[in-house]
Formats: sequence, structure tokens, C-alpha cells
Amino acid sequence: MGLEITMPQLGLTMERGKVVKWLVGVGDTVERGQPIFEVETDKAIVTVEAQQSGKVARILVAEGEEAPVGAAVAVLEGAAAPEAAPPPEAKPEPKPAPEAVRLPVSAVRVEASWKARAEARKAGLDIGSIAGTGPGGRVVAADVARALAAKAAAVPAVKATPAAEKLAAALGLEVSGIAGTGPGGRVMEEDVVRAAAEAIRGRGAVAAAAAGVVDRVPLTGVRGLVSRRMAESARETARVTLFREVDAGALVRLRERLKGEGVEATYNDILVRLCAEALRRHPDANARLGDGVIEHLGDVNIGLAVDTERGLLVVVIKGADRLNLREIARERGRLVEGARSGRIGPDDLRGGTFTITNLGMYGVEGFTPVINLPECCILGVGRIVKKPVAVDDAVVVRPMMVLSLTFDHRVIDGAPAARFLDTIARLVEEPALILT
Amino acid sequence: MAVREITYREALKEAMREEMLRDETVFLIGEDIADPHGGSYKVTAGLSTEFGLDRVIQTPISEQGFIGTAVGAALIGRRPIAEILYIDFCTMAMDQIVNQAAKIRYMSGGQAKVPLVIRTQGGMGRSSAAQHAQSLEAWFVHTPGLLVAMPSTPYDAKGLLKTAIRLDDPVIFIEHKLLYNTKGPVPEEEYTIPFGVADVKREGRDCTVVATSRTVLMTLAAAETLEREGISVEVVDPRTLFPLDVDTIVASVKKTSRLVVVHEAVERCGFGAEVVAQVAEKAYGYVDAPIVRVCAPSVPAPFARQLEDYVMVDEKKIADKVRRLVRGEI
Repeated sequence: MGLEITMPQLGLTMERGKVVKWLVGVGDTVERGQPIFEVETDKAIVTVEAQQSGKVARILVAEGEEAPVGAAVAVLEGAAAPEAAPPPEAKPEPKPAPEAVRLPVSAVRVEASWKARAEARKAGLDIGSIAGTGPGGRVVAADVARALAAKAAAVPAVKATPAAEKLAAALGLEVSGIAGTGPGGRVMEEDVVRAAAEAIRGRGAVAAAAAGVVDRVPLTGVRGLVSRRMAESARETARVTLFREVDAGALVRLRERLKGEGVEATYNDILVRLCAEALRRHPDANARLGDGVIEHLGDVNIGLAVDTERGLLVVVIKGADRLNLREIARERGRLVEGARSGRIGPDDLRGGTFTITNLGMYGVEGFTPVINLPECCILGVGRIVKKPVAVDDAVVVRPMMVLSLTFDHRVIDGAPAARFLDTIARLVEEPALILT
Repeated sequence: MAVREITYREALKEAMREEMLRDETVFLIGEDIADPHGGSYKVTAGLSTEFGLDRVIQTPISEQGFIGTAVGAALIGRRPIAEILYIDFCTMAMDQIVNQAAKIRYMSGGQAKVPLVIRTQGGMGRSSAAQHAQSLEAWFVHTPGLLVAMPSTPYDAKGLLKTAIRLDDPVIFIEHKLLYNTKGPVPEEEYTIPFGVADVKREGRDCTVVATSRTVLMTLAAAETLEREGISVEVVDPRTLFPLDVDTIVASVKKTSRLVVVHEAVERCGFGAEVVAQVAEKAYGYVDAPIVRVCAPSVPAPFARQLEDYVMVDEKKIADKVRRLVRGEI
């Protein structure tokens, strides 16, 4: 009996996944729990483990190819079937004998409550596909209920005649995207024909307007995610950016001193620590907009924008207010390395309460960063450059830096945001206040 | 049914008096239990005057000796109620309790039985220091052959003590030094409470709290505060730690999805660990938040009042933990 291994759903928004690498080959025997392939999602590369033991009979999706969630990517044969035991509480029932059993593959290790796990299993949901709202992103029962409701709402059963389905499949169209004119909204064959004709006309129009386009980059993967999230932030937030020039002399000296002590801390590491302290002093900035409420957050988790080959990723340093610089540097090193190699887990990319984005290395003075929802503030960091400035009544040359704080006016007002930026500025100018 | 308010102390005394009147084989033995002293916590006051010194037997400070005497008397058909003044002093009589009383029924293949009750009291709150403020119930729950009761109210104290006296197995009956003066409704009519039946002291939706002895009262007060904040707490008092009414606890957790276990004893390997393990096994698919405990930290009880307050479980600590759990902060 053949057992299909399917493309797992690794996030709420994931529709397709790319097989990056097969870790086993045809003819190999795999044990339950053994890593079998790597899949690239919007956010990360995740290793998928075998849920059953057996022998790899066929690989259906080659490395570098994509497959929709739920589609078979390989077939296992052999000793697997007996292990597909029902959960302990279930009564053994006479099982139908399908020629292929579709196995749910839960690929990521997710923190979830016992109840959430039990309910997700009962509902046939992959716990890894559910966004957790418990402490530290833990999936709790309410999240499972929400995911179930969303699933029920999102997937209205599309009725289509068999002929329409067949034609749509042949034309590469989704019946769910076609307006049905049959009884009860059923999609008929002629609906598919009409939709296909419209699609062809549409493509022609685009082609005509796009004279001069030399390349088309599909909005998928990280690019697609960034695109959607930035648009959402621009659409939703009432953003204001405050600029403040600070003397970075102490910052430069501190970094040099740390280097002397063998601590390879970056300016960003120091800024993470200073911002964590500032957030602790300004809890109104460590907040997000919930459903009709402003939620002040107990944890200070600082996101750091990282430029990677695949695009922008924001890695999250959790509990930054409780870490010292050495710990922050180590954690940042791990996260950035993970982000650049694509081997970072979803847990390291979520849960942020504030973000820092630094374009100083490209000579940028100041800019207006886009808020990383659901957070309410983001700090843009400019270059450190020597400038003549007035100190007391003398003009002296000091290394100066511009901080740009964008805040969401729906969540926090201008004056408190300015006070928050003032605290950051003072800490940057005198990091010894907290770091010695 | 006529009900009056009496103290925990009076309820215990009534239980002993009624059983002494009902059954001539019941007698008391212990230190300072006869009049005029009537026991250090005055629980036995008046009983030696009523029943005579043959049935209220005074002993020197000799726990190993008088528990041994009581075990022997139980073996030949008497029903002794021995009082160990502080549970801390059980250590002096552990061989008689653990190696003799708990074992004889089993090792004799059921030919002999030890219908012995050891009344004792534990708990903090009077600045009694590390040798007079322990909560050692877990030692006895861990010993097969012993039954363990820990009543929190006058009603439970009377009903459970009467049952303890009538049972044919040795019972460790643990009172609390700060409960003796607490009052509660107790029927005039005779009643008993079976072992192994928990009492849901308060019904709620959001969180189950299993508490023992005096912490039941603290938990009820905390539940009152939390109710005003919109958090509904169910308070389960197992009343007997062995036999333990796991079914009631599991049913409650299935309803609320959350569990906090509270006791005055130190946390490490305390009775709470058993409750947690039972629930982890039997209500696994229903638990939606970490199972947490509110207990004393694992240190000897301090003498200084402020330090004792610091380690001792109280209403605020219970309320804080439940609040954070229900709000999803833990």
C-alpha cells in the first residue's frame, strides 16, 4: 500500500511550498521522525520529518519545485501502514482501505497547550499552521477554535459540475475563482470557458501596457510577504516620524571598549539593549492595537531588520530587557546567521514588540521606516558621521547620528512618543547610565 | 436539620466524644491531653473529666513509646486516638507509624488490623519556626497502608474524624494550628463523611484550584476577589489526600481547562506533585495552560514573622498566580 507524504501547511498564509532539498532518496528506508526533506516557505526553511516509517517508493516533487499545501510530494511503501494507529482514546474502528492514505505531516515543533494539541488533532488541523496567542506565542485552545472558524469561513464549498472541474483543471484555472451561473451558484462548463476567455484578454492587456518590462519577479516567498505586510502597514497606520540628532561619541567608545574586552557587539546590539531599557521606561510604546483595545505588553522583544538574499527578514531578540550585551550579541549572531542561511524557525521571526532598522552602513542620514505591525513604533538608525556642532559656545567636531522614530498615532500620541525618543537619545549619548 | 456555628476545635471534640459514647473501645492517648490542661490546643478539654483517666491516658514526652502502645492496643481490638502535638514530632515515632502501623495488615495477610487514628497538627502562621511549622503530609501519603485526612472546615473535621475512628486502617488525621478557632456550620444530628470524596467548595468556570487544609480558606477568599475581576474560580478540597478523589479533580479540570494546586507544604515533591501527575495523565487533552503550584519554597520555615510571611502561602499569592494563569501570562 502506498502512503503519500504531503506538503505540510507551515503557516496560516502558506499556500505553496518549495522543496529545497531531499534528505532521502528513492529506495531509502526511513524511520518515523527522521528528517526527509526541507521546504521553503514565506519565512524560512523548515525540515519535515517522516510521520511514518517505510520505504521511499517515489519522489513526486523534485528539488527546486513547488507544490501546493496538501499535495503529495512522495510516496512511502512498506511497513508504514500498521503504525498509522488511531490516537489512544479513539476506539479502533474498521478502517476503510484506501489505495493511498494521506498523512498529516506536522513538521515544525510548535509550543502548544495539551488541550490545543488534542483539539487540533481531533479537527485534523496541523498545529504548526495555527498562530498562537498564548505566552511566547504558545498555541492555546482558543487559537485552535479561531483557526477552525477561519477555515470554515475561508473555504466555502465550491460546487462545480464534473465537466467544469475537468475543463478548469485542463486550463489550469481554480474553480473557486470562477463565478458560477448554474443552480445554487454551481460553476458550469460555460462559466469556465468565459473565465478562460477573460483571463486571456486580461493577459493581453497587461502585456500591451508593459512594453519595456524586461523581467517579471513574482510576488512570492519573502518578497510577497514583505509586499503584503508593508502595504497593510501603510494602509492601516496613522504614522508620524520624529527625527533626533544625537552625539554618538559614547556609543563609538563603548563599542571600542567592548571589542577590547573581547565582546564583538555591533552598534545594533547596543541599540537593542538601550531601546529595551527605554521601552521598559515607556510601557505605552511597548504596545499594540488589539480589537478595540490598546494592549500593553509585558515582554520586551526587539526585532532587528536583516537584509538577506531572499529579502527583508525581521529577527526577534526575545526578552531583550533581561539580556546583557554579551547575550544580545550572541543571540543576534545566531538569528542573523539563521536568517541569511534561510534556516531560521518561525519562532525567531515573531513576537516582536518593537523594531530597529539600520541603514547607516549605506550612508543614509535619516528616513521614515514603515511600522512593523502589530507593533506601534519602529526606530530608523542613520549613519554615524563627524560634523561640526556647537558644544557650549565652541564649535567642535563630533560623531553625530540621526534617529528616526516612526510611531502609530492610533496607539500613542506625539508627546509621549517624543519623550520615548528623548529617552532613547539620552541613553545613546550616555549608555553608561545603564550599561556599566 | 438543625445547624449551629461551632469552632473547628469543638467539632473535633464532639466527634471524639460521640465516638467514645458510642464505642467503649475508643480511647485517647497523648501528652498533656487530660484536664485541667486539656491539650495544648485544648481539643480534648473536658474529655478526661467526663470519661476518666482510663480512657484519656496521659503520657510522658515519648512519641515512639505511646504510638507503639496505641498500635498494640489497636491490634488487640481497641480503637485508640493518639495525639501527636506537632506533626514535626512524628519523626520520633516514624518506625511505629511507617514500619508497624502501616504494614501489619498487609504483612499478616489481613489477619491483623490496626484501627488507629493519629491526630496531629501542622502548618505555619504562628512564627513557630522550622521544627514546629512543617506540613509533612506527603510523607504519609507516600506510605502505603496509611490513610491521610486534612480537613479545612469544622463540618469536614467532625465528619471525617468520626469516619477515621470507625475505619479499620491507621489514619493520619492532620489538623492546622490556625484553624482551631475558625467557625463554621455543623449539624446537631449525627453525620459522617466518607474518605475519598472531595468537596467542591466553590464552583467556577475559568480555573480549578485544588487546595488543602487552611489554604482552602485562603483560596476561597482569593476566589472572592477574583470574581470581582471577572475570573471565576472553582475550589476543590480533596479532604482526604489518600484515598484521593481523582475523579472530582479531573472532572473539574475538564470543565475549566486550568489547574493550580495549593498547599502550605514546601513545593518539592509535595502532595501537589501527585495531583499534577494525575491530572496530566487523566485530563491531558483538556489542559490549556501550564499546571502550576502555589506552595512554600523548599526551605525550612523561618522563625522571623516577616520571613515566615514571605515563604508562607497566602490569599494574595494564590490570587496573583490564578490571575496570571487565566490572563495567559504564564
